[in-house]
Order: sequence, then C-alpha cells, then structure tokens
Amino acid sequence: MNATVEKLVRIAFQDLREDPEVLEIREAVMRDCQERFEEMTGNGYTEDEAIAAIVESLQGMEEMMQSFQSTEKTEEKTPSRDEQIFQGKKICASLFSSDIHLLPSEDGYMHVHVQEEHRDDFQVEMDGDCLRIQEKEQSHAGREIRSMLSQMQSFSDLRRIVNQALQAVSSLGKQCITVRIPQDMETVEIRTMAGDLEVRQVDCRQMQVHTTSGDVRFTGKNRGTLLRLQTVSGDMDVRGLWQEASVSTVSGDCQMEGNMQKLNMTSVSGDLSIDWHSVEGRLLCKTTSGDIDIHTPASVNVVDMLFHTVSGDCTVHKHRQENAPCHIEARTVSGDLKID
Amino acid sequence: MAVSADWLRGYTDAILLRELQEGDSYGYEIQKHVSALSKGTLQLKEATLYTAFRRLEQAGYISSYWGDEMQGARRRYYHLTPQGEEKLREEKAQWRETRKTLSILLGEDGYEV
Repeated sequence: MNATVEKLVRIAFQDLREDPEVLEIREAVMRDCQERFEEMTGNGYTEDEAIAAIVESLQGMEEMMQSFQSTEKTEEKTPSRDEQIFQGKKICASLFSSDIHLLPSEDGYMHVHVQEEHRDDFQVEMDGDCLRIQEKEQSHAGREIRSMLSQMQSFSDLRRIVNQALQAVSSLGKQCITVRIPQDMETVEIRTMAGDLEVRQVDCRQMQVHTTSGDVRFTGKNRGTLLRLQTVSGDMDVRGLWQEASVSTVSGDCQMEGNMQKLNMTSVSGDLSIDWHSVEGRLLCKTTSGDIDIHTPASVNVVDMLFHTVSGDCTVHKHRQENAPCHIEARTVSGDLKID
Repeated sequence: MAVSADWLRGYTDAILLRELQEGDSYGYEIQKHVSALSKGTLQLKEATLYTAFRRLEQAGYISSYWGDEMQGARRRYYHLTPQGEEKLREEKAQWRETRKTLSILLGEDGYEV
C-alpha cells in the first residue's frame, strides 16, 4: 500500500466520526484510491500525477459528512438488530486484533455493536454487573489458516500454504467492536494485542488499558479517578482529567494533555510529550532514549523541578523553586529534555 | 458541445443502478466505467459515490458485501436488488417523460404538444 495514498484517505476521513460504518467506507475508499494509483502509475503516469488525481477524487468529503450526521441522531436512538444492551458498571474486554471504540451513551445503557459478519468472532456476556467481551483467539485468520492446512495434499503445497497464511494474518485487524457506555462507569479494563482503542468522552472511575502494538487514543472530555495505560509499541494520544494517571510504553510515542494531579510516565525509546494543564501536582517522567517535552500553563512561573540527562540536551524555560506546588521530575539517559 | 456534469450528477442514483444492472461491481470500477461511457464528462468523486451507495442501500435498492482480498484494504462490492431493478425501471420511465416534455418545450423536431 502506498503510504501517501493511505495518508490522504485518512486525512479525508479525519473529521468523520469513527464508527463501524465510516471505517468500512474508509476501507473501501482506501482500496479504490490504491487501485487508481497502481493503475495510473502502471500506465505511464508519474506518481505525482496519480496523487493529484486522487486528491481531486477525494474532494467533497464534507458533503458525505453532512449526509451522515443529519441521520446520526435518529440512528443512535434506535439500536440496530446486532446491538445488544446491558446494564452494569464494569467492562472487561480482551481482544486479539480487533479495534475497540468506547463511545458515550445517552440512554444510560451499555450498547455493544459487533459487525454482523464478525459476530462469531466475539463472545459477549454479562457476568454479574460486568460486561465481558472476548475475541476468540486468531478467530478470523485462524479459521482461514486451518481451512488451508486441511486442504494441503502434499508437502510441496507447504510453501503456498505458508504464503497464504501470512496473507491471512496480514488481513487481521479488520474487525471492529463499538461499546456505548453510560456516564457513570466504575471500571473499564481493556487488553488488546494488535487492536487499537478509541475512547471518546468517557467518565469512568478506574480505567486500565494494556495493548501490545495497538494505538490508544482518547478524544473529547474524558475524566476519572485513576487511569493506567500500558503499551509495548503502540502510540498513545490521551486527553482528559484524572486525579492519578500512569502511562508506560516500550517504544510507543506518548502524548498526554489535560489536568492530572499525579502523572507518572515511563518509556524506553518512545518520546513523551505532555501538555500539563495542572497548576499544582506531581509529574514524573522517565525514559532511556526517548525525548521528554513538557508544557506547563503560562500562569505557572515557578516549578519544583529535577531534570537529569546523561547525553541529551536540556532546555528549561521555567524558574526553579523548592516546594513549589508544581513538582516535575524528568530523567533520561540519552533523550533530550525540554520544559516551557 | 460539452454536457453539463452538474446536470448529469442529478442522475447519479439512476446511473449507479444501471451500472449494477450489468453485474456486481465496486467503487473504482464504476468510476472508471462511468467516466469512459461519458467520455470523461462525468467524474464521480468518492464522496458523491459513497453517499449515493449509502442512500441506495438504506432504501433497499442495492446490497453490499466484502471481496475476499487477502492483502491490504478490501473491495466493497455492490449488488442490485429486485427493488433496485424496479426503481431503475421507474427512473428510466421518468427520464423518457422528462426528455419528451423538455423536447416539446424546446421545440425539438419530431415532438409536438
């Protein structure tokens, strides 16, 4: 897939709400544009000419947005036939490759939406007041691989089967599950391997997220008491208001924005960027090679800070004062440090 | 003389139904075919195309399904339903009526009140 084409399509859809329907259309449009690009470049057009034609073809997405949003309200009020409704205070989701979206619900229920074609891939059940969502391991691709292996006649087929299996695995992550949750959630626990998480406008007392390669994105006004996020290589872009938050990653980049009285961030090689709205509180950042970039409110002139880097550059645009209400500690081995 | 693309765009739904009457198809294939048939006059943009697909699918005139591509993004195929066949017949009848009325109003040869 050409990276520029993929980026163009993502930009064209960035203002549309990311629900399963929009994601499906985005995928179909992605395919169309990719095919246009390959066909034009294969027929002697330059890559620039093909990109220009795609840009032209992607114009007018706002027209689509208007037509979608005009029906959005009525659609949300009527649960679709594949939408289940639960009452409860807790969600535990364990997913393999699927993306999960947590969106606000106006009617006080948790709604779970699974695309019909992938319904068999998920187990959704109410356990006490906990909604459990589980993706059957390697469901979609696993079935295809098993079916290919069962058709293998001899070892000479093995190479072909392995190639097909690899292609099947590369098609993972097409599934999508949407959970609409009420305002007063107690606990949300989500684990995904490759699936991304999107959280929009959620008010939840405790939230814990763990992904391996999935990206984590919080948009809108999110709030809660405790937030714990962990990724291995997934990037995080998180906004909200929490009393206490801890974020850790190995190689993912992490961007935090909001008001958090106590914030702990650690990374090995991922960069940490914090737009901290708090005028008092405690911020601790630690990386091995990742850069640390901290932005504090303009009204905060003095900070009780401790910066430490072995080989990185250090840029400080705040005054240091011991026992100031804002305490910031940042440590890195080779990363650069910056505070303004 | 160039045909007005805006005028043609008013018939997008009917054009798509007609395209699918020839068999199941997907976005880019339809874009190419429509462009070729109209000699480049009508270039359907993605937004116009998928808004129309959505409208037609919600009305029950077409249905859709995913292709079985194993790599990258998949193709979304569209299929004309029996209701869509009926709608296309209505659209064609309406077009014949429109053409006749307009021809009379513009004093075209062969058309009389």
